[in-house]
Amino acid sequence: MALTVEGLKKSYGNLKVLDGVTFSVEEGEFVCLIGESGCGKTTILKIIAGLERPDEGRVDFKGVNRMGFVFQDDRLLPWKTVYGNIQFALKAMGVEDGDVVRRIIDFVGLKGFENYYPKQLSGGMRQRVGIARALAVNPDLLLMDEPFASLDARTRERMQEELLRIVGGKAVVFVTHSIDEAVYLADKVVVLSQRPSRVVRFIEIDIEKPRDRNSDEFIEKRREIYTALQASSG
Amino acid sequence: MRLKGAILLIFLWYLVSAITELPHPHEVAETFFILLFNSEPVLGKTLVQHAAASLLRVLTASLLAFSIAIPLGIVSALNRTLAEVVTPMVEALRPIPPLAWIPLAYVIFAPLPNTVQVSQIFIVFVGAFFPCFVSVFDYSRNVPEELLEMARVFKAPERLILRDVVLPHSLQGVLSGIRIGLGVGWMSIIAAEMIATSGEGLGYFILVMYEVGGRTAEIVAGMAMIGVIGYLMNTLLLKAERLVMPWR
Amino acid sequence: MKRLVAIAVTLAILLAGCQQAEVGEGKIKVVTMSPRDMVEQLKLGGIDAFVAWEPFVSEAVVNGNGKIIATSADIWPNHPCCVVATTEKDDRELVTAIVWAHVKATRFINNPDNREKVIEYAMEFTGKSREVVDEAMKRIKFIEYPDEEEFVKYFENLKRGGYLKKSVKELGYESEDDFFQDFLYKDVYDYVNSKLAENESWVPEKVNKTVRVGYLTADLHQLAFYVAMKEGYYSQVGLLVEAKEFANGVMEMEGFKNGEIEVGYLGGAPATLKRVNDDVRISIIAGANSEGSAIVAKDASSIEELAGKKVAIPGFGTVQDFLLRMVAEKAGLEITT
Repeated sequence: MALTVEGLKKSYGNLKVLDGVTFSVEEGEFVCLIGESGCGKTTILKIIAGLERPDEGRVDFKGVNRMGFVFQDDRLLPWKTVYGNIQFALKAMGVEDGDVVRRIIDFVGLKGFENYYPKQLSGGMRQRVGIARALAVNPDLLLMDEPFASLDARTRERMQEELLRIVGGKAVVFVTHSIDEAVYLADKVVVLSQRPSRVVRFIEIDIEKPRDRNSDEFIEKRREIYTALQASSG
Repeated sequence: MRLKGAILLIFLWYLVSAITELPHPHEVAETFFILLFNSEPVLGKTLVQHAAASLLRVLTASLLAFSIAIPLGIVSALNRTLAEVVTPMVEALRPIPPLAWIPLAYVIFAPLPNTVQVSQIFIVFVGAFFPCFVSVFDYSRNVPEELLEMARVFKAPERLILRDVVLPHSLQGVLSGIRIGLGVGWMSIIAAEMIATSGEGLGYFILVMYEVGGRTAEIVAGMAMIGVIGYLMNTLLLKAERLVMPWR
Repeated sequence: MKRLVAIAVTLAILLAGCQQAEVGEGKIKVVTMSPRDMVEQLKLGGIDAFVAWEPFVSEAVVNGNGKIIATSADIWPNHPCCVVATTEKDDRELVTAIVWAHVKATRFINNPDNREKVIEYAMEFTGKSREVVDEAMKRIKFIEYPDEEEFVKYFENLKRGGYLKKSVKELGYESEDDFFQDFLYKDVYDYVNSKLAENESWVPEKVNKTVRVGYLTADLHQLAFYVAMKEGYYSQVGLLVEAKEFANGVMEMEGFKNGEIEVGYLGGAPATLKRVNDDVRISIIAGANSEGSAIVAKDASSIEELAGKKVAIPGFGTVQDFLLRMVAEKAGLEITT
């Protein structure tokens, strides 16, 4: 067990966002949080990352020394190159540089773009830098907040394929509102209700990766999640 | 497009010259090019000499202004207590036009030798200081929250956040502050020279040409020189910005 | 960051240092400023000497901030100074009335019997102390019409110095004589003078008009204007005077140009410069004074000692400018700006 989230409650003033969210992530498990926009998915990630405190409930880590975070918008430092942006995370966490940055750049397929500034890159490439930055610190847990939401459909699918290769056996919490994305990536899908958020269902997806988006079992899982979401929005 | 604008300006100029005492563009151009390197008889100096005198004053004063405004702007943006002390002062002093300081400057600096020179430098200082401070302060204070959050997620220490996030973001403010500050300083010096006794400088040149009379072409040539230098300064600084901030 | 600030400050100081360029040897550096500022700057050491008119010369002397090293009477006897000018030369009735009042006032001033009253008037007009006014009055020659020969000499000076942009031909005159006949319009003065010579108490017919008259702030040379008002000479000829104060002669010439005044007391220099260069159509109908200027220095006691010093004049092309140039030339000194 890498992460346990138990009974998270959170309100902003009178607005109740989380109403007892509980789930866990096994070592090496890829967990997708799915729910409608504005249901508090991002808040859960921020609480896990320690950026916000829950009103109630707790987050327990086991064997997690470092976390990596990938944002919905790339959040790259505009004045740093691809290399500099990745290096920033290492400096921030006080990790020795070595040739980690170069290796990661190679790994995410950005070789040759080391000295490019973010504005010179496409959306997909910038998101790749964001992922590389999160991976560079060699995290035990990777938190991803709808990282592909702003990409076009084709790029998005390619990034999903690559992501599976890149994250390997790391524990991941991946927030999305795309059912297709969840079925493609997740080992386990946590379906959240509308605000205030609660967990309405856990759906295990035991299809062999890489998955065929047109296979019957894929479509079946998609339908299952869809139904769960529909039911939760009542 | 730029050419069309210039042609239109010259056309309008001819039109106005036809009905007023404004000298024609070609007369001004002739005077301008003659005086560029030949001394004008009354003051015995060339336009270039006058321009150099004005520029020197502006650069001295602006450099002083920037070396205070930039650090102060950054520090006040980061320190709430200091900001609460500094911003009301700046907001109160900023709306006062630099020229309004002239009489006070004379009184304050009267005990010093070269009162006029010191006062002029002070006027430009005032003109350059406030726009620079405001620009630096605003940029330093408004570092995008998303970037700060990103840095916190990666547990970046404060020093690193300052060095790699806040200061680079302030740099834009610093550079625009310098550009705007120099622009205002340039306007202030011309006016300060017109009021005070300077011996040289473009503002003084224009004033004396007016006092002696019959030298409208010289006056307009002096104005053109002001425009040319202002334009060059702005262009050069924009170029420098691109050089200093290749990421933009 | 600290290093940057240090570099910037050092550079700024260096640049400031460059500005204090020394005046070359054998040269006098001239700057322009209003006489009021000269007195102040001489005291503060901003300038080493100045050339100005009364009462500013005496003010500096009485305050102990400067001493006279040459009076304008020494340098250029009977040089032109303040004059009475008008744009309404062809309104003979009006000009006669103005000139009569001016002549009466001037004679009042020059009459030793009125000395006490004149001093009182001078103090009121300039706001200066009795001591300053007393001292100043010694050096001013109140006149009725300027010396025409000296005026022409001044004009020649302007031409030689490159101050005049236009020739009299461009102004529509056949010759310089033609120009001077119009510019130095003495007819009315001669008429008034002869009438008064016949009968001392002659008063021209009342004109019953309002006239706007310009004058310069606290310029003792123009005392006749103040005396004419105080002694009621204007009302005797049916003139209602609206006095308009100007900071300097250049501004007063703008006043003429814009039709703000019909008559003005002002320096002969701006009158001539603007008459020729900017074609402001005025004529000189009377003179207010001659001489009454001086070179005042803080430490120097001779012209030669002004070498390498900074000297203030009221403006380029003024009589004071030429006074300085004349003595400088004689002493073998060059003028720079």
